[in-house]
Amino acid sequence: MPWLTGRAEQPVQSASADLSAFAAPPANWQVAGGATGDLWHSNTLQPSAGMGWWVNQPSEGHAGDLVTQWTHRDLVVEFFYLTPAGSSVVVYFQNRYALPLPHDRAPGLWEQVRAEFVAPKFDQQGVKIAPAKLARLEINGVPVDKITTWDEPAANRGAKAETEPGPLVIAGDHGALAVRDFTYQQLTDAQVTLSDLHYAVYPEVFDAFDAYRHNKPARAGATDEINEALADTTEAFAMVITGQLEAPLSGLYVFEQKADPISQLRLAIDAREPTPLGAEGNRFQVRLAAGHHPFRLDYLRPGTRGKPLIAWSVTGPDMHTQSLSFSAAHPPNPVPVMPIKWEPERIHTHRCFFPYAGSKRLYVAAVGTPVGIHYAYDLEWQTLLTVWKGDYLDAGGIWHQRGGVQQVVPLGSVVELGAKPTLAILESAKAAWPNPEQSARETAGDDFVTDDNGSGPPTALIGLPSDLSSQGYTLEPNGQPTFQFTIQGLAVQDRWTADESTDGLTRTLIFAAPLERDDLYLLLADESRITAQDGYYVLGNRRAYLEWPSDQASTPVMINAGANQQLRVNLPRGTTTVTYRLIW
Amino acid sequence: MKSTRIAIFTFMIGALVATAPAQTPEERFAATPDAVIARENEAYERVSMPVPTGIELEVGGIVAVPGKRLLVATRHGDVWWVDGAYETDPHPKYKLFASGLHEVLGLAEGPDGGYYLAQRQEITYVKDIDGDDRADVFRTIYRIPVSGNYHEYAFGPKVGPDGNLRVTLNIAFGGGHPSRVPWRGWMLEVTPDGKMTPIAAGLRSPAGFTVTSKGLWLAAENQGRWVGSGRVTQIDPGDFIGEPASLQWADRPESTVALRPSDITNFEENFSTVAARMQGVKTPAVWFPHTILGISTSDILEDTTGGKFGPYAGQFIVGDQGQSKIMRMSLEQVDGVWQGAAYFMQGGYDSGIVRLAWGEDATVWVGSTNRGWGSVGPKSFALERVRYTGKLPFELQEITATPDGFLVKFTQPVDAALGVDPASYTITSFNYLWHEEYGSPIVDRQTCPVVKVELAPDRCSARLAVACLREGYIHEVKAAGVRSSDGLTLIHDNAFYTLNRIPAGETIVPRATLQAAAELCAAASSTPANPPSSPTRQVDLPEGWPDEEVTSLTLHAVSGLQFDRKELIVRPGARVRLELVNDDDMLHNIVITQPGKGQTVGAAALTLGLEGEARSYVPDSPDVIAHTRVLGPHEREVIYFTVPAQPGDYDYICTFPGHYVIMKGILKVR
Repeated sequence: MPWLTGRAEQPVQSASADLSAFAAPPANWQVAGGATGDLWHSNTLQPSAGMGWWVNQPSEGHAGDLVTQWTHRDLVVEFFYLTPAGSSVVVYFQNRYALPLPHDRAPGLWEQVRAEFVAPKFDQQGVKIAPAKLARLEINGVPVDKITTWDEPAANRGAKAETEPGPLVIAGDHGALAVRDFTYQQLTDAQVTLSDLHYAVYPEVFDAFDAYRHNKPARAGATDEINEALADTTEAFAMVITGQLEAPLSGLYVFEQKADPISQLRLAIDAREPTPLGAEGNRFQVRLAAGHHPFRLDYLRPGTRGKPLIAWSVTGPDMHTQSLSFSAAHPPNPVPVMPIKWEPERIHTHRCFFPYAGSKRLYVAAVGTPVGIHYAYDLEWQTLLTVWKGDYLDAGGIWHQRGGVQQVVPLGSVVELGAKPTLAILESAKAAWPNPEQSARETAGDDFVTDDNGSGPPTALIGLPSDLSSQGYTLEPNGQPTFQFTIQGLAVQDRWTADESTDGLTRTLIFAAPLERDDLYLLLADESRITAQDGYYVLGNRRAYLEWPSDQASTPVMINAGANQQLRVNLPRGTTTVTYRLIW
Repeated sequence: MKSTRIAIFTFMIGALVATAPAQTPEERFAATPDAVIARENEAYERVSMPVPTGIELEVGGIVAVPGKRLLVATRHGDVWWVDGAYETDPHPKYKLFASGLHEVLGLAEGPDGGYYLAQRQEITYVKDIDGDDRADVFRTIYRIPVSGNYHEYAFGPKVGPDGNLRVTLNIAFGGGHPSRVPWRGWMLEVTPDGKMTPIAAGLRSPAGFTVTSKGLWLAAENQGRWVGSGRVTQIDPGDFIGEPASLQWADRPESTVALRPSDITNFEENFSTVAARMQGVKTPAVWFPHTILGISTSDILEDTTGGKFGPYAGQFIVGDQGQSKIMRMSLEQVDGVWQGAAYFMQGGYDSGIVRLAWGEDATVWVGSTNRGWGSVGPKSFALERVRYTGKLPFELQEITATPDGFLVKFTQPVDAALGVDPASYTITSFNYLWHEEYGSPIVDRQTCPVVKVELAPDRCSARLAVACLREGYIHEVKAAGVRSSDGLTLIHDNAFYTLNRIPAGETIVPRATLQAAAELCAAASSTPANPPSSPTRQVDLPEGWPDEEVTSLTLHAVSGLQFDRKELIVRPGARVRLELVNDDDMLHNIVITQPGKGQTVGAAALTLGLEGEARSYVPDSPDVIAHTRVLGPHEREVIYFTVPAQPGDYDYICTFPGHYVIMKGILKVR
């Protein structure tokens, strides 16, 4: 597998919002705009009017499958799914090979699957030489390590021989479920080929592409492969690689060019540059007719830092992503995954730098529990940044060699919450919530500190003004932490406990003395949208629930805060304890 | 008068043979460090603690707890109880006291049965309150500013006589400003309730610091930009000790440091020369000449045993990570300025020494890790125990400054004839540049004539009258000719005295005699230039080498003491253009040697002493085929050489001291 591109950036096929992609959808499937129901206790979904969801509500004798009108061989399929408790989602590739989809989220929350299916391969005599397999499976964005292969079709499925394509099937007989944003891409075995490759090296410092146009190359010649080593130097240089690219099919080709950090790559095909795709700036798309196309790849390395790198790959129409250069196929030294382990049955609290919202949070305690519910708690904001289930943390970024990034990576599928200081003293119920990061950026302007060692643009935020002051934490005999902080001198204890049966965390805030003020607010959530439903607050597009117990003295209110909604509660005078649950 | 003339004559002979010891290169190779270590070990017994598989005991902090227990904090973030470590044949039990911390690089006893420790981002007080040996309380004492850069280590805390804590904070490494957030590159003081006062600026990588029994704060430093060599500086509030990045924050109201970033330019002068004319710059009390005596100064431990740890009561033990050794330091105050000498003590430790701590019964605990930097000691980490065996080593016990030279004390009586002979001693002075470039060459080197020697009646100390002494310079005092009464050579015959001030007082020779001898000094002064091309270091394309026949190879020195390729393949007799690129933040070279000779050449490089730096740490040896000079971070060099005609597996190594054991590869000639 090429390492550069986790995802094909090809425009994929989206099934239309209705069920027309499927052959005669059975009556137990219908189009809806949402669903309600007691998702924990009854295996039902009550469809509500609207579009975008496909809801399966099976009943006795009516539990038909959703079967695509098309058939497939190699296939990438991606969709969101949601079930009430007790249901499962099973997909059959080619109507033969069953893939039950795992759940790491609570009933009624969207989960996402992306599966790369590779059909069984046969030689010319029709003898199977490779079984059907999943090249990659991601659940909620996290790759599933286990390799799935199928030596033979599931029983009672796929009447036709394995050599024949078959439709994709979403089973209707495993309980109620909903699906949205179903996309797919059929992949062929076709490959781009390169030929007539030539290179020219200009071993000087050039500030811009083409600055070497009139120079004589110091080295030049034919080559079988595109490789930065052709330049035979790690000093500043420019290199031009030309050749013919044979497109096996007509259609859209997405190229990805990745250079070492100080260098740039520029691609031209048929003497013109492709259109940049997306914000990353290193993916380009161009529509090509089947056949030969001259190309030119310019590499510009204006300095000497690090090593040269030319990683070039392509994803053609309905084609697998393919490496076009040596370094795309052979990634340089990766940092090993080093999972943090601790004693069984104990809760583990780990101080670390933590990735959050594209930045590096520096004062964080990541808590892992033996029931597989984990969270990152911010010791500046005294609130959760991120929650996840499954495996805990990779410390390779800290423990390998010098620990260049000094940052952990959560190993499960994360839900990043909208974090801000958890408590604030506000002049009014609708006053803006303190945003220290925003304030720091505005104060620091161009001096705002950024760290060069992270990937992406991590930011370092130091000593920001806040009413909150962390005092640390205490551990119970099983390792359960209670965080301590003060807000304007008032001591607060903050304890989050994992509860397997509720799929989430219960927070208990205890004030050292009954509140003597009535302008203290607790921020429960900050999300793109928050919806009250069935006794819960649904966060974002069904990302998580917040359960606010009805017996508490105060009631949360929803506030519009810019593009987001905030769920806040004004804590009444005399408050000593606050409890609520986060479920996902 | 007559005796003085003889002394000068003796010096002149000495000057002609320069400072080289009276040995041929072959003899020098034969004197392997192992033989020295064997003698060191007679006086100091080293015992390595077994560590069970699965425990990453990368030591960052040690506290000896009464009851023969140890608490050992690690870079992985654990704190371990170690029980049974004092036993004769130790098989200690390890039990977790705390875990989940972020790179603990210091541990100290705190009040009420708890402990202080420094993580990257805070000073924490930890305590077991329910008596199960496991910490329950993790109280934040002070939030340490960090930007998230890997090089922002926090060391300490050390508890001062007033109960306040001090930490030292590394600056960052890589692109951008090295002191990205307030107080990086500072020593801070923090009260137990978290109130912070910045103490001193100018720190770079102060991995070890201490407060002495007399309340003196000392901080060790690691070579780098603006820091020519390892060193220990005595720190008073308001001091600036050399690395300017920290001055970014000197104008904050809490700061008492008067210097500002604009006061510092890229001087390219001796640090002591600039400091003499610039208020507020504090130079080291003791330099540890880089590669000769350590390459990465770490912990400082005062010998408070009153002699139970051998003959060095009141002196300091100083650890070194890269060379896996302990060194010694003696201090004295002259004109209110601290200065003193650095000595060899004991090498051969298992890994990179980071922490030293006293245990019970005059035991020193030595904790090590070499992750990310590598060390002569081959293990990834180690916990070792050192005790004085009672067998008195023959060593330079202490060197102090006198108005006209040095008083050299020996641990045992010396042979009277040799001990009083000026020819038994050589004194060489030198200095380091203060500049932005990483490290410094040895500059302004000069041989100082030993004019007269007076031996004390007990024959345990010699007073040397020396011409050409220079304040602000490091003076190597070498007593190669001295023997004990029993005819023994010194285990280590040299030490390095940082002569900040020459004390006033009586001289043992007339000042005019010293003046006369001093005229000879100027001629002897030298500063080695960049090494020229040599037969083994051809930096220009040799004439007559056609371009198309040259095999081009590129090797990168990468972090962790590694070349990026462990194997290169060339054909016999090939003409090679080899480029070494240093991607690391340490100094490296490459030396290609005859098959199987890499380790021999690497060991020989260790013995080059003051010569090493100027010779790119490449010994004279027929086993050396080709080499580069020593490259600083992000430097590169191309050399040309012809591969031997004989097929075989030739070694390549980095001979920068301490690297060759790990940093190596094979040049396959096929």
